[in-house]
Amino acid sequence: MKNGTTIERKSDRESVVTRIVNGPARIVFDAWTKPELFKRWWVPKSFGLSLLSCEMEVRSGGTYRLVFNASPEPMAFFGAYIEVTPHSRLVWTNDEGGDDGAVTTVTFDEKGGKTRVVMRDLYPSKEALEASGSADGMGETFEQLDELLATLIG
Amino acid sequence: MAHPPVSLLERFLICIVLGLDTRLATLVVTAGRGNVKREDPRRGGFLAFGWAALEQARLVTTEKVGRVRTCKLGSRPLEEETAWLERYRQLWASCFDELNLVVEDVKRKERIDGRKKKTVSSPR
Repeated sequence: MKNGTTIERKSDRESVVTRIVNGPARIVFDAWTKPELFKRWWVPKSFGLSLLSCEMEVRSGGTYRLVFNASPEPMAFFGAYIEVTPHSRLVWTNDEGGDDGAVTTVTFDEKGGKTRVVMRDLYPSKEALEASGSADGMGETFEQLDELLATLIG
Repeated sequence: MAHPPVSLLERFLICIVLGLDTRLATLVVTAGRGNVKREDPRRGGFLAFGWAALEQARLVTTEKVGRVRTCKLGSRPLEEETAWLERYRQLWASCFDELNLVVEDVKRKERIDGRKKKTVSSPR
């Protein structure tokens, strides 16, 4: 089977990325939950970006915090784990954007030594998604950026 | 066709994939919070790089009439929406490629450890 990555837009508030990973769910789950492994793949080296720190308290109600070495200042992404079911399911919130952030659900489904990883980003509402600026050509985000750039370029 | 829902983290990474200055990525993420940060473009050359990259990626268009330059973002034609989706897919493909390597590496280490244990527990 080809290990291709697919992306599907399920609705106006949900997107799903699917991939078959060549290993048992136990190891794949570890790679998503153990910082020393997670740091090695979450941001591919070729991006020229790395994780300065990666704190993960992997249990229901636990929090996580990822800090990237962006310039001019590091960027932090954070949230909390809503559900942690070893080797099969992870659910976390994305709180850096405020209350309207997406909830990410990742499932791990092992078959014949390989694991199908399904990752879905679900926004609380269509309005939240629109507010986040990704519904329509990155909509509001880009409108705001647009306004800003217009003032800068003059 | 509209964009898929994308988290701020994903948008941040997409900027990196597009080869945009991380300062610009930071700006996009900050803008996503509804809290636009103002920076002086003449300080650090953010626009010289960032704007050119955006134009190259065809994420922006500029039109100059007389002394007025009009800049537009996110108003690309349909086929570019598809291209954007493809870049988003490639972003995750790259991440999962690295994940595969990590998983393979752990598998290999477990095999080596397993052989060591076997040797220790069952001496000839």
